[in-house]
Amino acid sequence: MEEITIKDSLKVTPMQVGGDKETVQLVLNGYLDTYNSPEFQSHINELINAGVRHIIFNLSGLSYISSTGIGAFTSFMKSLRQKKGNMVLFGLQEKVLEVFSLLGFTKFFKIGSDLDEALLFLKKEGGAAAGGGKG
Amino acid sequence: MKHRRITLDSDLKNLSKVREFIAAAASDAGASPSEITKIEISCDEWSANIIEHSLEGKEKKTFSVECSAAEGRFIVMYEHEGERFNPIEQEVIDVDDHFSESKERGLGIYIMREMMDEIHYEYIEGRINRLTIVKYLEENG
Repeated sequence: MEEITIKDSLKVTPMQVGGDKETVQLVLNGYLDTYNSPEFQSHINELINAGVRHIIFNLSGLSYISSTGIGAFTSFMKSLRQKKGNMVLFGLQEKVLEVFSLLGFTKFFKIGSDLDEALLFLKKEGGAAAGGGKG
Repeated sequence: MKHRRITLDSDLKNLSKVREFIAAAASDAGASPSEITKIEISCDEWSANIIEHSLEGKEKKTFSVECSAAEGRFIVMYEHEGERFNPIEQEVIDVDDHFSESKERGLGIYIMREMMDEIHYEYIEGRINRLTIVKYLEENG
């Protein structure tokens, strides 16, 4: 997967994680709402269908998320678990974390404090490589 | 603060413009960052509802948003012409069930009810949907 920009509003940058082809870190920059969420979801589903089983979402550049965006993450979680994989989020800005929290979704998602913690979680839960991220 | 009003095309790309408009108005009205987030996500849900459902498949239409504040209350009034859609009549969802069934939509009305203090709906002249949503602001917000 190459870096993509969705509707001039969300950039998704994949980063290799520890040489494990089944694990990827996706860095999001922009916002995620009803406007761009379907296309975002479609791109990530392609990735999952292509064999990715573990996804680390780096949300440090995500300024806003709507319920539709959170819905996309619940969908990824379901797809990955069907493949015995998992996902973890980290770097949430205060506002984005508040939306997750206000909607009661923090209990459904693993939210790590940084990339190392995210990798550790995946290693424990999903058997992903934990060799450290690149970039 | 003075009343502020914008009118936009019913296009999902305008969601971010509405959020910016409302967040700026709420900030000027003295809302705290947390209150602004609640107002912003609630209004975003209604904006998306209007654009996706009420105006679906119709010729290009518009909707308007008006913000005002009075006596510690921040008020957002939406108006659009379209089929009658009263969010207050919608079923209340359970977030746990919503997640376990991996539904991706349907949270919007729940959010508005949870985050805002008042919701009023009117259908005027058999053509205009008017939704007024109110947030009570904390004194030091």
